[in-house]
Amino acid sequence: MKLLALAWKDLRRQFRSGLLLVMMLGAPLLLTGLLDLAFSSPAGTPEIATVTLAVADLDTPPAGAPVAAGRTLVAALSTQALAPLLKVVPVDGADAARAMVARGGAGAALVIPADFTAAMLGEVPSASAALTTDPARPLGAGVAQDIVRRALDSLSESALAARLTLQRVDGPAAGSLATQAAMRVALSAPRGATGGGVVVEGPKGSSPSFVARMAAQVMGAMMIFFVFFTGAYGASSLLREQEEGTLPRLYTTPTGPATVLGGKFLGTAVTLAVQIAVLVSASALIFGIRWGHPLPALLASAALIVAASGFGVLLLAFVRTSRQTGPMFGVVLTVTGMVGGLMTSTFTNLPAGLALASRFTPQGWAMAAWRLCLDGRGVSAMAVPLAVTAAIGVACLAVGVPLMRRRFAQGVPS
Amino acid sequence: MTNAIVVAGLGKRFGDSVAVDAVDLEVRHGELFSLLGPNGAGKTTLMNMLTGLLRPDGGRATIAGHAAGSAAARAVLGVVPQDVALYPDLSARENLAFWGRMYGLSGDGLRRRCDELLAVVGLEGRQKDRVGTFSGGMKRRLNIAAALLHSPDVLMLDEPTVGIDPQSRRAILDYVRELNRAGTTVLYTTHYMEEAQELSHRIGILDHGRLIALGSHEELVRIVGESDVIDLRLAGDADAATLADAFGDLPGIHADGALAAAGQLRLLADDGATALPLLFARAAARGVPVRAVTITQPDLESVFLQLTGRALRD
Repeated sequence: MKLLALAWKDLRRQFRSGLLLVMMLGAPLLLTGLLDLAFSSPAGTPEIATVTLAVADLDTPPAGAPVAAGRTLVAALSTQALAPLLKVVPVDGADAARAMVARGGAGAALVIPADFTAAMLGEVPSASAALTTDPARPLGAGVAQDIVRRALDSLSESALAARLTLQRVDGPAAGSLATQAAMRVALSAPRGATGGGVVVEGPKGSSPSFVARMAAQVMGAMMIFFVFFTGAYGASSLLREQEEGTLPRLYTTPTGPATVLGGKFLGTAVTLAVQIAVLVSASALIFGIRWGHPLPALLASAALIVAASGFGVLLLAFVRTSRQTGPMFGVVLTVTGMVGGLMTSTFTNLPAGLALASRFTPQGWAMAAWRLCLDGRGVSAMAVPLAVTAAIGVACLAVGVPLMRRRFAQGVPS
Repeated sequence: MTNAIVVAGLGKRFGDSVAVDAVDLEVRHGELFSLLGPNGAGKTTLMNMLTGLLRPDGGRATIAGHAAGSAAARAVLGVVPQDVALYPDLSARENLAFWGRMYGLSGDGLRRRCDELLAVVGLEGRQKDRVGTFSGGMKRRLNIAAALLHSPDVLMLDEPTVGIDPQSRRAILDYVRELNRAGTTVLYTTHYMEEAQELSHRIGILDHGRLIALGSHEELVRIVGESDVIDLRLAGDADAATLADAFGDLPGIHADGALAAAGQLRLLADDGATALPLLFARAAARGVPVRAVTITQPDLESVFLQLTGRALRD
C-alpha cells in the first residue's frame, strides 16, 4: 500500500512537470515528426530526391548463354516503377563509376562483374556485384543499397529455383531457358506479387516504405534516448527529495528505507512504461510506424525499462547535488547514446569500429533489440540483445542500489 | 507512568566537534517542553536522534516507551521539520493524503482527517492549489498539519516559526498550545526566548551541545536572582566593552557578566534604581554619554547571559 502510494506520488509529480513531459514525449515525437515532414509530401506520399546510380556493366556472358544477367539487372533497375527513386546512368568501367561517386555526380555506383551471368547460370560458384556509396549522402546510399540488394536477391533466388527445378526435368539447355524466363519474371513482377521480385513501395498505408522504415528507426532511437533521460531523472528524484527535506521526513514516519527506495524504483519503472506506451502508440497513429509483434515489443520495453532505471541509479552515484544532475546526465547520456548509435540509427554504412563501440553501451543493445522488433522479428531472434540489455540494467542496479542505500538511508532503522 | 520522552546520556560528535554532549532529559506526558538555544547549540541534532534520523554515538532515548527511531516510536511521533518538507507540485490535500498514507491511514478515515486538518490550519479554500503557490506562512501551517494526521501522542516541532510573518507565527503558537491542551506531548525547539517563555511548562537551555539549565520559566529566572537587567544605549561609537570594565568595581553591579555590543551594554544589578546614578557618573567620568537606559526584570535572555556570558542571539 505504502509502496503504491510512493510510486503514485512520484508518477503524479513527474507527469505534472511540463519540462519533463516535453523531454519524455514531446522531443522524440517532434524529432521524428520533423524527419517525416522533411521526406513526405503534403499528400502524404514519400518524396525522396532521386538517387543517381552509376552502373558499370562488365558482365560477359559465357558463349552460348541464353541470357545476359547483367543487362537484365540493369533493365530491372531502370524500370518506370523505380524511376522516382533511382536514375540509372550506364558508365564504362568500374573506375569511371566510382569516380562519378567521388565527384558527387552519383549517390552510388554499381559494378557488375564479368562472371555475373556465369554465376547466375551456375557455371561459376559465385560472383559479387560491388556497390559503392557516397558517405556524405547516407539517405541516397541507403535507398540505392536497399533497391540493388533486393534486386540481386530476387534475381539470384529466382534463377536458382528455376535452374534446379527444370534441370531435373529437361536437362541443361531447358534449364538455361527457364532461368532466363524466371529472371525476367522476377525482375518485372508487379509490386507485392508473390514469388519474389523487386518490391518498390508506393504511398503510405501499404507495407512499410523506406521513409516509414527510416522514421521507425529514428523514432525507436529517440525513444531509447529519452527513456534513458527519464530513467536518470527518476533516480535523481531521490536526491531532490533529500535536498527538499521530504526524504528525511519520510524516514520519521513508520515507513522503512526499503519501502521508500522500492517505491521510488516502482514509480520510475511505471513512468518509463507509460512513456514507452505513449510514444509507441502515438508514433503508430501519427507516423504509421509498425513496432513489430506485441510480445517482442513488450519484452523490448521491459528490457529497456530495466536498463534505463539501472543506468540512472548508477549515474546517481556520481553526482553530489541535484544541480549537477543536468550537466552530468546530459553529457553521459548524450555520449553513450551517440556511441550506442542512437543518432545514426538510419545510417547503413557506419564504420565497423562504431558498430562495435555501440555494443559497450546499454543504449546500443537496446537499439539492437528494438531494430529487430521493428523488422518484425520474433523473440528468439531478439534473445541476445534482450538478455544483454536487461543484464546491463540488472548489473547497474546491483552496483547502484547498495550505493544508494548507503547514501540515502544510512543509519535509518528499517 | 512512564515519561513521554526519556533521554539518557545522549551524545553525538561530528568529527572533532561535539554536537550533543551526554544530554539527560525527561519530558512528561502532556507536557509542553521547549528546548531553547542559539543557532548551532545542538537542538536539531538532538531532535534528529530522537526521530531516528541520526544514530547517537552514546546514550539512549525512548519515545512513549519505545526506543527512539524504532517503527513503534515513529508510529506515535509527529515530526515538524525545521524546513518545510512538502511536495510543491502536489496540492495541499494531495500532500496531506500522501503523508497520511505514510502513517498507515487510508479510505474514509484519511479523507476525514484531511478535512479536519485543512480546516484547522485554515487552508480549506486552498486545498486544491499546489503548495508551490502558497506563502511561507501557509506552507508552515500545512507542514504542521502533515505531522498531525495520525493524531500522534508526541509532537516534535523544530523551530517551526523561523522566517514567517507575525500573523502566521501567532496562529502556529496558538495551535501548538491548543494541541497540548488536548493532551499531545510537545517538544518544541526554538531560539526565540519569547516563544519558549510563552508556551512552555518547562524549558531546557542548550548551549554547545550541553543542557545547561532546565526548569520552568520562573525556576530559570531565579538563577539570575533578584537582579535587575539594565540596558544602556551609548552615544556614537563608544567602546561598550571598555566601559563595562570600568564598571567592574561599582557596588551591586555584576559587570563581569556584562554583554557589550556596538553602542549597547547590558548588565545585571542587584537594584536598578540604586545602580543607575553610579553608572551614569562613571560613564560621564569616562567621557561616554548615555543616550538611553532601560531597566527590566530578568528573562530567559538574562538567564542565558548569566550562564554563558553570551547573548542568546549570538
